[in-house]
Amino acid sequence: MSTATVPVERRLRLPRPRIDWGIAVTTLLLATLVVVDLSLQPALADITQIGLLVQTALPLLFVAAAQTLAVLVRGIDLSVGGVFAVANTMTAVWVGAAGGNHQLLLLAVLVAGLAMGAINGVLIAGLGFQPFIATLGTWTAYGGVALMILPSDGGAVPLVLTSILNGTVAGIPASIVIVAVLLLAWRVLRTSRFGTQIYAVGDDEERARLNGTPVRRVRLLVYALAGLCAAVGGIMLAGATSTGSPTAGDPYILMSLSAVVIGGTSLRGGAGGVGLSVMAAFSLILISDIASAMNLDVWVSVAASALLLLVMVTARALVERRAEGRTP
Amino acid sequence: MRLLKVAGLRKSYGAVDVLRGVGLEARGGEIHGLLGENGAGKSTLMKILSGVTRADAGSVTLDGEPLTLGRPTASTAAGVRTVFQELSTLPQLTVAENLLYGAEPTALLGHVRGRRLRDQARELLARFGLERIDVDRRLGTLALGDRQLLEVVKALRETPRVLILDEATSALSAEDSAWVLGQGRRAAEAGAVVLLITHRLAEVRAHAERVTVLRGGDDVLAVPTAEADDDELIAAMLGRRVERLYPRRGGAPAGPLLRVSDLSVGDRVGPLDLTLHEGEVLGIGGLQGQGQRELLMALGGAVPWSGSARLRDAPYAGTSPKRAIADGVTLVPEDRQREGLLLADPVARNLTVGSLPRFTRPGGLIDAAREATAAAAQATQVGVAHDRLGSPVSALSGGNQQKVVLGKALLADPSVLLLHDCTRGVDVGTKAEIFTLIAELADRGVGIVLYSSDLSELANVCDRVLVMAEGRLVGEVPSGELSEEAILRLAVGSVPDRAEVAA
Repeated sequence: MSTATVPVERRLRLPRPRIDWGIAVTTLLLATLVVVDLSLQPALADITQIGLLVQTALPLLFVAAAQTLAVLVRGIDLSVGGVFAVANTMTAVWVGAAGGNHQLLLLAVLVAGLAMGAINGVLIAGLGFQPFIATLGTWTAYGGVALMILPSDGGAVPLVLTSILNGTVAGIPASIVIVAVLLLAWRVLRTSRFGTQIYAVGDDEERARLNGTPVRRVRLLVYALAGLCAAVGGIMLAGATSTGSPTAGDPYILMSLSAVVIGGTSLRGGAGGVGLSVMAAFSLILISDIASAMNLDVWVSVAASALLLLVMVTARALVERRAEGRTP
Repeated sequence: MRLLKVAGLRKSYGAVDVLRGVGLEARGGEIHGLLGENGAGKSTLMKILSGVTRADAGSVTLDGEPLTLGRPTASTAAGVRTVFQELSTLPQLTVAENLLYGAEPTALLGHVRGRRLRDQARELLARFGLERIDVDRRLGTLALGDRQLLEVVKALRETPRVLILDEATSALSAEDSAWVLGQGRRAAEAGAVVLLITHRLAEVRAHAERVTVLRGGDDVLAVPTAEADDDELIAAMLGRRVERLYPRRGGAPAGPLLRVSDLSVGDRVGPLDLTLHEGEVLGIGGLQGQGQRELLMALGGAVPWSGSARLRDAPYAGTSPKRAIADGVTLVPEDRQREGLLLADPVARNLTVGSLPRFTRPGGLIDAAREATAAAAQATQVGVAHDRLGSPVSALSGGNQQKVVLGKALLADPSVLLLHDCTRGVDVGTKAEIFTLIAELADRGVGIVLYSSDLSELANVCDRVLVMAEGRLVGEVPSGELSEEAILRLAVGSVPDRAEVAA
């Protein structure tokens, strides 16, 4: 039997420089695209112009945030498209048509998003459905609700929303402030005890349970929050386009998943974060912006996004292998 | 004096009774050893105490007060801390987040105070002399031994009333084992009830004041350690078995068939040498997870390995399962459902799938008639009813599924057959059939390497048994001396002097 004692010195490890390669790769991508876009369109280097670009990105940023939450607990949320559409049509029909307190009604839309997310959570955490199956079902169901609210594109988005979105806070465009609020909220969540529990559940459900984590409650809350984020995305699109659409949410499902993967959140759960997905989502928006600045056909930007997905996944795998060495 | 009292604890999974009314009394201030073979119920008992599993019946009291169990949080609140054999630490979180999980220093809105968290983690590590561990590292990047040490630190974060060490030393070096047991002793001196679950007899002898032996879900012996010798403990672990499962063997092993030298798999297994003879059933024994699986996978070409091997007179490379099978070495893997069978496909196709090129016409189409004939022949050989050939494998019982896996392996006409725990979850009748088949194959000159977690199987089916521990061969039980006791003795290391290996 090999019972030779290991000298203590051999187990001392040199402190490694702490570079989070996951964040580094995503930041580098975003920075590169920003530089390219700015060199193509020097006029963009203006806070108002940036604000407008960010405004077009807002719906995707929020859906990507929603998707990230689900993926962090080793899940997936296909219903973000449906929740998005319900929130979008509610904003364009109910909120717009009603007189009086629009802010309160918008709050009701958010509550509806939270509720739709909570239904996902009950199906997945409570009844044990596979996240893919459960949210495939609720996506269709919520999509139906959106069609009931608004059968075809149209409606009247309340002016208060558009004016908030196009306004400024202390000279900074509101869209940028909204992104800052999203990132701040994520930071508060991430550094809370609940945040640690989210990562623990996604990391290893059984071990999280051994450590006394209320696994089901964490899952349920996470899906509810994802519903809330997706609803915000729907409201943002309504505000940006001044109209409602019952099918507007669907393209965001796959785009949000692309953003999650490009950003570097692990589909196996427990690693990554909303900040990464937000950067990746913005990168996707920049690609289409660059393509239109260069007068390229739409297919070019679609193909570029697809290529980016593969390149990023490969780059990440290579970088991680070198940074981590062989890990079990 | 603190007293943990377990009485009449029962637990069954489906039709299988894992605990049949176990009792246990352990005192504070002492280390109490808990011994038993695999499947004796030790782990289930510990899982109940730590709240992971709920008991069907029975009571657990601490100092006369009933303990509320059934949830990990309840057990923790009652002061029961467990160092789990399967680690409970979370690989993606940092060392600090793991150590203080659930007890993080928080501010408003549950905000975890990062700096204070890391300071507290460092203090905690310093208390245990483990300052060398960086609190900011992701736990999954640490060596397995360090992760086990942190498991202990986490369990001792607050002073426990009951400390359970559930095979906490099984993966550790001697130095680290000593450290863990030292922590157990300190907890005992502070008044805790310390339960030490281990396979290592020597460890119980050296550290435990009392010992309880479990067998088949019952407590069969409870004595002060000094009053029982090793033979007594081993006999209690094994009990009496009356099963006429094992066939008589005809022929005896002939010349060398497969010679392996310096085989290593990664840094966990090897280097080791072994020789398999024609017509020999060579057993691989030892506690679970000592590298037996890796050894068999390596020989079957399923994992990369280094070293050299000769099959009869030719060099044997074993670089992939396909090449291994072509060379005449076939592995029957442990998890038949995941690694061995296409569950939705019919039995016939499962029997032939490993040898399809033989039934393939030029052009790539399968000759269905020849395939069916071969499948029927195999079904006869391994005893699967012909009317089941068309049904999906998933519809078969575990025993019949295993026979299909064997049939598939035999269709490749191997000269070496590697069997990994091939009777696990198989009923007694089918077991007997499988053993008869093994005996027939050996009599025809096939060399068989058999790993089993069942000691009586090794002792009764094999010609000779090699025992593994920590990735190496630690001893051999030759044919004249084969017995469960002899194998277990080597496996638990109660006779550490017999480390020479004749191969």
